Amino acid sequence: MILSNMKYLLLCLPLIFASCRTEPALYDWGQYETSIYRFFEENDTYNIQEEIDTLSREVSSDLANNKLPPPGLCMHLGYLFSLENNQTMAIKYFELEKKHFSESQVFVDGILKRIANKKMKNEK
Amino acid sequence: MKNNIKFSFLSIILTFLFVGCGSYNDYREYLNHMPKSILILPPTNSSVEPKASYQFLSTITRPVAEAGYYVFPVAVVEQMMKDNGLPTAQEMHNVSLKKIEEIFDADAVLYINISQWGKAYRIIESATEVSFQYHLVDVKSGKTLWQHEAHARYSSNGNNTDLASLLISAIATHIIESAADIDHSRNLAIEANHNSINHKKRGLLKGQRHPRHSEDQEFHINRQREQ
Repeated sequence: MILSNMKYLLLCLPLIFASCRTEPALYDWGQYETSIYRFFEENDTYNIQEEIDTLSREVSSDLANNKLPPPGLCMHLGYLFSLENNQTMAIKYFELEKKHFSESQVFVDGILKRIANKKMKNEK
Repeated sequence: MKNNIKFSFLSIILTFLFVGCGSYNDYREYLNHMPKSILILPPTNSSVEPKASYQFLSTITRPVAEAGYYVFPVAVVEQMMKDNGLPTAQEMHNVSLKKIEEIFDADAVLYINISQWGKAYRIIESATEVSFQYHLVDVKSGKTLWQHEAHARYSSNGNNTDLASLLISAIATHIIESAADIDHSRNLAIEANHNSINHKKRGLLKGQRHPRHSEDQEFHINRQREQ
């Protein structure tokens, strides 16, 4: 039990390194990168709803503090919603990404178009 | 045993193979094609550890974004490419820049190869090593803006010098780390990525979202002029 937790403790080491940096960070990274790691690890313990809850809270917290969420986080969260077949929330977060990062516009619009086309096909 | 065996997880030894540590990169092309957004593709992996790719991928977004660039969501990009008939990183790396521009409108692509990842066993040492090669390519022109090589290493030895201690330490570390499935590679990758990207003379330039972007641009443009 302790040993398996050690693995995640080591994942926190970067937080220790991060505190050694002298420049303030542009973004609050929270669980985003760890979420990416868990997404790919394909563990039986992967709980997508938990990931969604954690990341949603982080985005809300960033926005409440007038801070930009990290690049890609909203899209990643939107993608998780789409995996849970929650297209409404997926679209909400994709739009949020586009709003905060205009660099993502073409990519996001492409995905939104595909979602819309799929919806049209399903309705026929 | 005379001495207590210290499992010095804190004794991280990082070595970087930078030839000519003191010289600056030639940033001319980079300055001429300054990217705002960077598409980071899943790395190709020539190491012995198949998990290396995704573990690496979960460490590269942060330092590039903190350098002031928009970074596309790496997991979404990976899944999208797989869904579109590109199952391997190599196939993803082979996608034309024209196609990348069409789908992502990214200014630059960061291609990475992992050549070393995981434990390297030597008799008196249990060491973890990672090595990466980075290439940043301008999407519109195809020009290489930046390339870099990073190597980082973590040794279980700490400050032990006598042979018996070293041997026991190496074996014990191996047993404990295997049982706990502790792999320092990901943490090494985090450090190596941070140091590569933020290297004062050979790192990435500060992107548009970085507060020191203008200052950094001016510094490097003036430097190039003086050469």
